[in-house]
Amino acid sequence: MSMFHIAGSTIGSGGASGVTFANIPQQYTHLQIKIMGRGTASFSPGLSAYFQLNGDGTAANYAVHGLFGDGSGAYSSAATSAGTMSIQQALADSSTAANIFGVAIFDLLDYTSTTKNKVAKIIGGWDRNGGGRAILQSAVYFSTAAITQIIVGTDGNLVEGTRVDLYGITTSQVTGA
Amino acid sequence: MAYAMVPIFTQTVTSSVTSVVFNNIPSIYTDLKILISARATSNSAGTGLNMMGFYFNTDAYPTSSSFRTLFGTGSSVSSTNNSGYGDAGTISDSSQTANTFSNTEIYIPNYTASVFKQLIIDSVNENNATAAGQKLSANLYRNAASINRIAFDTSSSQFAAGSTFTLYGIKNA
Repeated sequence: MSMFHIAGSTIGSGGASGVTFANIPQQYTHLQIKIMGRGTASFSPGLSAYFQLNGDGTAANYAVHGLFGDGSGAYSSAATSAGTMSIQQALADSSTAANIFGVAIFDLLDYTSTTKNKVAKIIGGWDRNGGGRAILQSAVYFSTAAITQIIVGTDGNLVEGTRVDLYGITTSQVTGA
Repeated sequence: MAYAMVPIFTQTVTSSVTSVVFNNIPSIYTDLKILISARATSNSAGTGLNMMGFYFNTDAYPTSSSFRTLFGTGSSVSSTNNSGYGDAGTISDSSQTANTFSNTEIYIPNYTASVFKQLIIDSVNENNATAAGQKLSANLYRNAASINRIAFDTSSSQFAAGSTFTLYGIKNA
């Protein structure tokens, strides 16, 4: 086996401002986060999913680029000084019909490296029966520090039923887990 | 259904190289998956526009390969097709922010089956500027031979030190 569930959280009644993965173990090579989420803010094109690394909210330390399709066209975007690794319009908002969530898979390679800036690849999307988008996005955290903490959030709060899971991926054979 | 992803080989580039090769790939898995963190040593195609190529077995630059892509550059979107080589996705280049490597996943289903091989690839590179690439690529290799070797090269000179390639085998039972 090479992929292991490190931690996960299902948001309960009342919602939550975010999910924090602290003290991330350093024995893996890559990390993956899977989110199925919805936020309390209202913006029908969709809410961003935010990934803040190592508690660093310095805007200039992040950049993001995206490739999107919304059913009527394809678009490209870029943002420097992004403040977080943000996935634009990836999650359902409060104006969306009940029980609809957005989905994203966030892959971060070589998260323990002390020589590489941290680059994530995100595939995600959602459909709201009249809107939504498909997403391939990149995001970079301009820091060579090993990643020990990731905070996942959105615009407003994450609502009940949102699920966020963190996985570790090894490059060597591991048994017994 | 049981499911297992098993690391087979990892290649780490310690000094610049023109190619990275996985030889003697075992035939005991159902699918293959490759995770790549890579950077090129030059910028021949333009900032954010450089790519990796691949070929199977000993079939270098095969006429039986073709692919289609959806590509975002940070400021525009395009879709292309080409043939004669395999497209292994986008790669960070020397004109982009230092110490920043691309992030690529390649999925190869049924690599031992006696059918043509179809691959899906998603990859991104990053930059502290507008120009950075996000690419989806679908590749067809019109050859029914089992895959036992995969080689990678780049359109932009060499793979830089620090580039890593990990090959995983995936069993569906």
